[in-house]
Amino acid sequence: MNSFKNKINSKLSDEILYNNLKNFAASYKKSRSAALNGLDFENLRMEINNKRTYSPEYLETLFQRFKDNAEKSGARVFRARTGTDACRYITEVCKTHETEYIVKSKSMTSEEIRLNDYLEKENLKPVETDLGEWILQIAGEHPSHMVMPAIHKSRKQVAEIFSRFTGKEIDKDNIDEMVKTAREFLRDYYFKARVGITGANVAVAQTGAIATVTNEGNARLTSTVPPVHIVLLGYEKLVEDFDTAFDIINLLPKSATGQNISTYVTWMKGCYPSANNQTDIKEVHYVFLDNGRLAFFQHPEFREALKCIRCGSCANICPPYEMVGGHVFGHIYIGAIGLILTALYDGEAKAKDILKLCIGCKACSSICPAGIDLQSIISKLKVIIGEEYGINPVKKTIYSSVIPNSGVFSTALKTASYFQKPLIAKDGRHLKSIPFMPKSKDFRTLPAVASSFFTEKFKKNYKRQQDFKKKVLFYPGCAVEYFYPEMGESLVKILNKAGVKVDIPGKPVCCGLPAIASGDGKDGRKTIHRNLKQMGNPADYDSYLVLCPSCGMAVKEEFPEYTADNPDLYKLSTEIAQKTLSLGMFLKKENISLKVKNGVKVTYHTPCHQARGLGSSASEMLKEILGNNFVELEDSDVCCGFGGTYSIDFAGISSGILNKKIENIRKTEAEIVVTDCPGCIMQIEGGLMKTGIDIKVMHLSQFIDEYIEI
Amino acid sequence: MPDSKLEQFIKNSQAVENENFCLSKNDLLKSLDEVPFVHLPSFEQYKRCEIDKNGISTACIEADWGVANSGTVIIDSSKEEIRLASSLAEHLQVVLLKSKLVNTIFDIKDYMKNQTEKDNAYIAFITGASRTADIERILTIGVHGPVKMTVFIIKEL
Ligand code: SF4
Ligand code: SF4
Repeated sequence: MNSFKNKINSKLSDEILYNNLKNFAASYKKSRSAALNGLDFENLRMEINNKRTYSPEYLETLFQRFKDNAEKSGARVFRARTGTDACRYITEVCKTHETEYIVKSKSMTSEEIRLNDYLEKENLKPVETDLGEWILQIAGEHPSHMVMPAIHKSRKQVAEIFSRFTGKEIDKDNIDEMVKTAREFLRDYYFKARVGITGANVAVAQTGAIATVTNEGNARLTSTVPPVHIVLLGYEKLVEDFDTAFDIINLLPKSATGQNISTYVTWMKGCYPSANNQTDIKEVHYVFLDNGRLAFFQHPEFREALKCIRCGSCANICPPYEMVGGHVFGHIYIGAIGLILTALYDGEAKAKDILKLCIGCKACSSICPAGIDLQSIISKLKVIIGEEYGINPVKKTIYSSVIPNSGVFSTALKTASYFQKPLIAKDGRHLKSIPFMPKSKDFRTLPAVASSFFTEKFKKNYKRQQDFKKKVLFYPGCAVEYFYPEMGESLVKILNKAGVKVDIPGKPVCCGLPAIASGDGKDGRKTIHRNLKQMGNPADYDSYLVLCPSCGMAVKEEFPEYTADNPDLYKLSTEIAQKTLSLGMFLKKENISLKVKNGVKVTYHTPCHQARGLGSSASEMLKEILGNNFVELEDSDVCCGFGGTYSIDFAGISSGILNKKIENIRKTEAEIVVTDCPGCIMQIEGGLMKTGIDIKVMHLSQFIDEYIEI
Repeated sequence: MPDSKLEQFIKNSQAVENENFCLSKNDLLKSLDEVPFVHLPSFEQYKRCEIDKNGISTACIEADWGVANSGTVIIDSSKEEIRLASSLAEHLQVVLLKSKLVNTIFDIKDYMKNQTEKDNAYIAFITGASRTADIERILTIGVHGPVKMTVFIIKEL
């Protein structure tokens, strides 16, 4: 773990990486949305997803069809069970043709099986022809991004690498010259090589054709000039017909780089003419790689990952990836899909550390053009691997013995609230400093544990409410219960004014998400089961309300999942899930009219689990109420870096993500940042206070309570 | 909007820095004098030259289709010389008959099926000159293949 942490820290202090990834992320979002303009992305990706749900039997049918077509046309088809099988076969072909050099283009699959290392050991010389990959090859490195392999390098570094390799002086600022240098060198290799190796983006079973996609045109030369062409591909590249193939070709470049279409889409079938081959006909080999894939076609969830079309967008929008890059965030395959494929292909031992880097923001799931719910798969893998390798023992004790028992949990925090007294800042709500907190983790001012908890306050102040026509159950969750009872009080006040009665659960219980997110599924389940006993009868309530969207998402997604084996609890949890709303969603649903009392300049941060868990944002509502006093926050729905204990485990990443958020908040020049999640408030308010920026952070409930007339 | 497909094609083709000209058959034929490699079946114009690793200056090749919503041309490159000429010419000129314009790639599904049902096929979708953004994401043209691309659209056909 230590070397892993060191690796993270060295990436966090890599300025070139930081700037390249940050600038790229900003421009990527713009060009992607321009490229998708006018298309029904949700629909398209669901279509791609549905069309590519293959059973193992159907996949075998597709493969046999492809194979028949290819063999009829003279190509050879080899099934490689393991990476070594594939390497061996390819080496054999290369040796038969007595080639010294082998040109390669577009094959991440060859990275997966470490083909170059294998070939080199056999005294063969593979040459990557994609510019980025060639740069890394001659530098002795590996790609850090699926589409832009050398995104972590600066022009200066590339110039140095080229100077070293060519022995020529290369102008450090002249990218054109660098590209020309590469062009000259690589042109030579195409003609020296007797074998070209490419990957394939799709393989069409219907006729036995494959397509490769490039902007540089290197796959065209690799497949044209040498007399032998080997195509290395995974079974998941198989599609039925051109309809599905075009769906992929259409969405891939738009998602990858925001291009409308890739410069070259090259379709190849059979053994076309080749003057360089003595027979005048190209010798073509298809190497289909299993390497664990076929087994996963059986798995209801993991087989989703095999639908990936390698666009890289799940990395492009991943906040932790943007901080550390692909050399840390993934192994060979990078980004969200990289975490998953590392676990599936390289085993849990390799994946167990890097899986923890996911903060759970769900941005990847919402952007994937193949319609893969990456975050859910990652969360499942965390639980599986947590069971295998155990989780941090301190956390384990907390998740198993403290959190599920509300009595123990309350007492623990009561004790904390007592002992923290000398540490409390003047405002009475925050801690001045935190003992034993290393400086590197101390990037926020944290809230104090409340002196009296929400449930006590509620029982004291709001026990007797009028019997209004409407009634809701408010689920406070840990943050409101123990740290921010005033948010809950605001909610009760607002709703009473609007003619709604508020009940709360019998006992405060955590929603179970923290345990699950840390890989402790067993205690997550226990906590959820206890919870459901406290949540009343859904028939009695118009809605269930949350002020924390993560709790809301847990109720909607995890509760049903973790009760699936218990018919009574499952029925209860799905009924509750259907009724669960955030405050903003409820006010809108009930058509409760809101009017602002005085002019105050406000911006809104959209919490991850509100946007992508509950599928809503209060920003529209605020814009309506506030008019010109509402300022749009750039990247409003990008994660703030909180992620619960993530912000302590990976403080460097968390604070890096937070700094970008704060930068955007400053640009709005708003007086108040409103958001809808106590966790986001802990993070953003904490960060602003620590850096001495005087902008108020408020939960939507408090903001409405204070500034809005009902 | 009778010309919308054409306009769309030109707009998208320009977006990838292609030059586009609408011209008559006669003007096209006049422009071929200096071009070492020509392959225009519709006009029965063919010219061949040696193509090695030094590449050639210009190739003028007829496309089977043009795709309006992406500015793409579809070139049947099953003949090896066409593959070599189109990838190794510094300047790629593509001749496109206006009647061969379709809206999207989905309109040529049948063509693709028919072509690849043959024993061998090599079909290229080309949208602009060879490009890369691998160094600091700065767009640079001409990394492996053509440095420049021009589309000649023959309006009367
Ligand atoms: S998982 Fe989805 S978003 Fe990620 S690379 Fe694959 S297709 Fe793209
Ligand atoms: S959920 Fe967020 S943090 Fe996790 S992999 Fe996806 S984008 Fe990255």
